[in-house]
Amino acid sequence: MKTTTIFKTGALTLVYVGLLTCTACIPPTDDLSDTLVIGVLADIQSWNPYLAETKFSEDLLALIYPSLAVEMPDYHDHPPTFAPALATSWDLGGDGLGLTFQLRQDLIWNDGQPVTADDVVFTWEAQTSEDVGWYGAYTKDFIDSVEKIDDFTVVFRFSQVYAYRLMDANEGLILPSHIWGKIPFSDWHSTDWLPHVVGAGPFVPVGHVPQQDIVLGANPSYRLGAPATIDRVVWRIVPDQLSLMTQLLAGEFDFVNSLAPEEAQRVEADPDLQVVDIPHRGYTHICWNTTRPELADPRVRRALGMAINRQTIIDTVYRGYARPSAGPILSTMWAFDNTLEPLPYDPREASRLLSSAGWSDTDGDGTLEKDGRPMTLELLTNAENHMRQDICMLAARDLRAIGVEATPRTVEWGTFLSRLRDGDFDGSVNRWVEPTQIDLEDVWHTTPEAFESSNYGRYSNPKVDRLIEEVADVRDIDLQKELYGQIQHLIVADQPYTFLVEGRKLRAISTRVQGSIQNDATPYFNLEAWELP
Amino acid sequence: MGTAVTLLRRLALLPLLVLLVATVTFAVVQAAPGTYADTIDNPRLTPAARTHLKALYGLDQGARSQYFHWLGALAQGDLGRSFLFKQPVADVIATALPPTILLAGTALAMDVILGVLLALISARRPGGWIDRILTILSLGVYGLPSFWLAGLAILLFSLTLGWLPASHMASVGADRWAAGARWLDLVRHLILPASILGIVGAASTARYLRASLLDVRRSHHILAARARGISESRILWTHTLRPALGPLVTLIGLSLPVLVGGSVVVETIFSWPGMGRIMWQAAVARDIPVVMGCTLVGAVAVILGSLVADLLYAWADPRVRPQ
Amino acid sequence: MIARRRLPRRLIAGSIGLLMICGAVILGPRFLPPGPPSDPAHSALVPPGTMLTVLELDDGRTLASPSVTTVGDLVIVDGPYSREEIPATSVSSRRVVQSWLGTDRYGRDLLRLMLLGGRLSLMIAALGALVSLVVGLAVGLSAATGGRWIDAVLMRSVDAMMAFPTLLLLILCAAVLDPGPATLVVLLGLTSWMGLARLVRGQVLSVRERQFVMAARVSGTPWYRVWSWHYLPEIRGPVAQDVALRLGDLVLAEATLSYLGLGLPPTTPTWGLLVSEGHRVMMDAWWPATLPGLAIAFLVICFALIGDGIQEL
Repeated sequence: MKTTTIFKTGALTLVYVGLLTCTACIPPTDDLSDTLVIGVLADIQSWNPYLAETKFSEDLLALIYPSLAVEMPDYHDHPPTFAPALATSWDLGGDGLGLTFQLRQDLIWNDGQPVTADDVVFTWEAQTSEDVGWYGAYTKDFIDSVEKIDDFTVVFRFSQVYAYRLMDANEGLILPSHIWGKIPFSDWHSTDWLPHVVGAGPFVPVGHVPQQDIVLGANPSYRLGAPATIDRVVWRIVPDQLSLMTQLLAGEFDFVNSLAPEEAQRVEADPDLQVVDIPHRGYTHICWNTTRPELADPRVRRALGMAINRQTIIDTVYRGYARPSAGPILSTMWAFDNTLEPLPYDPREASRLLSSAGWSDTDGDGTLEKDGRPMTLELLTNAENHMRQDICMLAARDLRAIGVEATPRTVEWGTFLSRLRDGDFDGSVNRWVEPTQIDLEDVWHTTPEAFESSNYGRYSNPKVDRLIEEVADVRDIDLQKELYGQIQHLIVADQPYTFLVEGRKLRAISTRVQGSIQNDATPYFNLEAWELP
Repeated sequence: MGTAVTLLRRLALLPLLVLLVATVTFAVVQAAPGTYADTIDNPRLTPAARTHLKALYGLDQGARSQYFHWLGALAQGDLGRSFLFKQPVADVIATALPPTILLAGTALAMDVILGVLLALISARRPGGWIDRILTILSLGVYGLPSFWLAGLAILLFSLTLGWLPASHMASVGADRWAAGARWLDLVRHLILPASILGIVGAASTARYLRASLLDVRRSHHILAARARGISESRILWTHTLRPALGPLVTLIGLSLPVLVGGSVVVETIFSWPGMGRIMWQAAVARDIPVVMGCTLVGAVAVILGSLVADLLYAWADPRVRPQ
Repeated sequence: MIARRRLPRRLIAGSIGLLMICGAVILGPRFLPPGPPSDPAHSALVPPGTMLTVLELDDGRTLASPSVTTVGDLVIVDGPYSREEIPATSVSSRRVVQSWLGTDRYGRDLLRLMLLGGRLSLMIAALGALVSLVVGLAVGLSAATGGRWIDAVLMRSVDAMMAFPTLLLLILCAAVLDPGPATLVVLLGLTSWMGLARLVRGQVLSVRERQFVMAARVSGTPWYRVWSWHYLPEIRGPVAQDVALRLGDLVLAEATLSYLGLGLPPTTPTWGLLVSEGHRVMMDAWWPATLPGLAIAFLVICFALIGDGIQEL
């Protein structure tokens, strides 16, 4: 009798397991040869480009909405130039205060309406509307008005002459005024935008399941170039990096924008995938809080920098996908001064510098002291970023080797940023992602008390301040380069940061994808020309 | 009748409790460093733009004024607009709730079925080798961190064996399939996450149930039934299992909140678009309206669940009258 | 005299297991030979049982690597991420150690980490459970014996506590307070006492209706006698079992927090943190996540067995 019950329950279990396996083994039936699948970590924030704040949203929306001109990734040799897009040509006029754009006359939105000067004017109104509150509105600060001359001519009136007029005028995507103009700006934040989207770019939205997938389809009425060769592009949202990686290796994705270095090695070993390895426009550094008495002396900051073995960090954290960073301007930028060398790894020289600055181990406990105060530092970073956390660990280990009691400290992202802004840290491992236009003011200019800037370490050098102000008014590129060179040398001499590394941008792309051009402007630079043979 | 009065009184207390919970949560979110505008990780966002965003979202107001603003809107049935998802909070929750209910519901069903099965097998011969192996196995599963189990399951069943999808609710292109195929596809996607949640739950359900089964078996009415010559399987199904299910039902009542709260870890690892993930993202981004909305939904569920659990407990054990 | 019963087997097994863990964690680090230094360049993710060659150089550095070869005057140190060639003259000492459980991705010896981290894990769980026990007992007992109003207020506050989104509370509190073992103990303790309070109240309520307790209360026995003679012995079993399970739950909760990045900093690796760190390299190496994971499971099993045993007493 007992055995029958066990038999029954056993049989039930078998049926259950059997059912599971049956459903499990049904192979996917769909043919995905016309669909490009991309794995991403986060969802699009809004279908309205002036409400979204994430880089991914901007990259995606740039496939749908047109822009006046397209910035070229040629900042290596000179400030970036622009290629015509919606605008065929532009002219700065005699006084340099009126920038006139000639628009193409054959562009249409995918509902058949033409793209006209009205759209450009309406876009500027949206960009500067207080109700919309676009975060990039500051780029329009020096634009007094945007006027329609005729249907295909529009002029931007500036209040002053400065270097980045074209860049600022071009900033932002052009909106369909004939549809969006009917929705008052005050309602924009509560509107579901997907039904209102019409595009003039190579793609238009087909579907969106929040936190799951975004589907774009080729726009048949795209006129700026040949229509996209791929019919459907699906972005799969996978918030867990391990899961993203598993699916990439299982062949479910054709493209992944964000690979960790250790994953890149794995992707390289996969015959169906290829690693895209391009310089990243960012540098990772330790920002020292110069208001701390221990860190006020540049010799101490230099010593700390020389005690940290960058090569170990590059070998282990970046698996070789990085190069030592020398100063505040990226080595890939036109304004970089080639004579700058990264700080060498030299713990002995570091110890010598520290003792010349008055730090020595007087009580023999292995930690340096000065006037009875031990050298203890906390290296702060955010817990979500594993690479920075690893850098913290390694840097702290190297610093302890020369008698600096360094402890890594990881906090949650919001806490991290607010502690940086409040100056509540000793050293913080962080990364700046640099724009293509050089802007040193926000990070390096002396900050008045209670003014928000990104100069978290409260670095202040009057000479640097003066040069930064001076270079803003210089038009000549060679002279600019000369001034930027001086600034770089001054900052590097002060070592307010320990400049660690410039990383690489690592992407994975399936070998079945043909014709993709990869650069650091956007991962989807010429998505319309990608092919799936 | 006494029960009905108690029930009414506790239902009347519900809004008060929810409000209390909401108020404290609001205070905690406010106390956490940083606001939504501070957490945006976009290199092009300048400090001036951050300040502007704060003003736009009303984050430059004092905590008290923000609270009363939120409360005022709530009184009119408006949960506010999400900073992060750029949508009304009600829409965000309405999108995230069904997947969570589906996942947690399936997991709960697995939990109960598997748990009862394991407990029955174990309780047949307490102390026997089957019982011992099952005890250690189920405890082992319960004791392993769920994110490790989930990672292992993905590596094994998705990457190595290729049997089951590692994430999402549907395959790429499933929107073009027939309804039957879509349904099957959903089931396939449900298996891994629901199993992880369900198996871990089953381990603890089985333990509780095994203990109460053994209690009941020792009691007099089973001995009497046995003496009357009732068949062993009948004793098991009608005389032992039914009384032992009392505490189990209570347990289910208490797990009602999980149905709407979701599981952050499992939803994140398996890319399941549920409440747990929404709430987690909102908390990290300091998206106060969404955090508050989720808290309200969760609090109502918990309090109702606990009410149900109390009623069931009183029903199962008449010695305890609900006060 | 009541005849002494044999101790339940589960209690014995669980206690032996727990004693083994405690012994290893407390005494282990003392007897462990010094492990390889942590330089990930040469010794990260070395599999269990590998022999590591440890070199001390005269510039003060220490290198460890599973592969060290001497070619002429050069010592070649090979590691997973880099290769270094050192003149043989600058090597001042050389020894070979075995890494029993392998190394993590920082090149630290996993066995050593687990022994050190286990101490912290156990301590956090024990203190957290203590906090939860004290609060739960106090609330449960007062609710059951304090009269209608106190009961109503306390039990509704239990409801309210349960209605708080625990994880959210943990995230935000971790942001407000300084993350550290003490914070973790208080947070874990204060978010986990509600089940116990309900249990205690239920038990006491069902006991107080019994005749001998009624008799004691009516006959004017002082309240502390009633408690210590009648209530506490009755609730001891279920409470002990609950606490035993809670201990396991707290170890797991700490692991989940670590996975979400809210736990302790990586310099003080609890078992939970080790698993979550290992989870990231799960595709490269099985041991950094699996071994601490199994240790947690073993600990939870021991606690649960002890709990079962106590109930059978």
